[in-house]
Amino acid sequence: MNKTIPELVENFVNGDQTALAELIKRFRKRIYGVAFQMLGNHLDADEVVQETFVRIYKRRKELINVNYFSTFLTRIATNYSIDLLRKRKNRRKVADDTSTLPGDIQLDLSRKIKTPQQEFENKKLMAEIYQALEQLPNKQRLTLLLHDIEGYSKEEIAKVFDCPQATVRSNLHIARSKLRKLLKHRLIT
Amino acid sequence: MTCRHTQSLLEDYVDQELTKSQCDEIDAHLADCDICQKKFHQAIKLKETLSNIETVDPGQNYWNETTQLILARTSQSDMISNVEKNHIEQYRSTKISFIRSAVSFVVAIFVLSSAVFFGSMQSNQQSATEIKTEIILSAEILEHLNNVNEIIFTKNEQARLTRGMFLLGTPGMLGRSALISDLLTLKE
Repeated sequence: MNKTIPELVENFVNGDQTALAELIKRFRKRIYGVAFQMLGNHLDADEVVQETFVRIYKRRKELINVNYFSTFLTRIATNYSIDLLRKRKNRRKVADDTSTLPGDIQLDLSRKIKTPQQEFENKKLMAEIYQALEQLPNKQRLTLLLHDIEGYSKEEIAKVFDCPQATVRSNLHIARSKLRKLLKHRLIT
Repeated sequence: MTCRHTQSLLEDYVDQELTKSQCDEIDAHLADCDICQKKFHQAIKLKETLSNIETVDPGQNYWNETTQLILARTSQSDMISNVEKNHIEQYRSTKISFIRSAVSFVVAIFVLSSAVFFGSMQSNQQSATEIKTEIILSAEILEHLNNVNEIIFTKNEQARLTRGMFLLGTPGMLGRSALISDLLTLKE
């Protein structure tokens, strides 16, 4: 029988490795997504995923409310991503750089791309978007990534950053407005 | 509704977070205003573009390996924290036993020094009383000798006299050693 997340978190807090394995299975893609969008390459995203779960395991006793697991996890991941960004300022690669992915994954990806023209256009657009995103401050960029790309709600983001929802809304609006200016030529209707 | 008011609500309108009446007002304004309509379409297009960005899935093999790696790292961290816990406990017990022995040592030194102090005080008091007695005795004997010119001392009195002389006078080393046997007999 599938256990609910609060049940799993409760077991996880008591040091149950099986519960941890299940939680990794349920949250890994979410964390990988945030890290990948923020850092732009597989190697860094992989490091964030591993480090996030190891860190939350070490700090599991701090989880007083089991319902905050997801928030706590995302907070660790975003903070670690920001740390990595600061450390590796000049190492950032564009998000569509899949050269760091293992061979079988690259093969999978190549099957998903329809035509060389589409692939080229897609790469170009992604590069422009990420170049524009790079110009945003970390908090605005993360708010935009979490809300518009990863689908987090404003309430969830407010919990992750431990700030009022109004701040999230304001950061999101500023980020979108900046991005619209930077990608003006792409948004012509 | 003014353009400024409409544009301030445009993001919330795109996110579908406005009330029905607000939406109706914006719809009415957008139908008449080209500038706001253009901004609205830009906002919609940006949102669509961003929501269409897909994160590359690194595949099941990667996830399996990573999960195993994380589990290995967490169990390793458990082992390390256990070793650390043992170290801390060992350090604590060593610290407690050291404090205990230090306290016992201080107490022992205190007891010993106070015993020596009180002992020496008592012995000083005792010797002062004894000297006083010997002086009185010696004076009595001298007085008696002056009055009655004969040996009247018992063995014990003789010993006492010797002791008194020893304490009052300044006998040499030979004299002292010669008197030791007499002094020992005092106990009787």
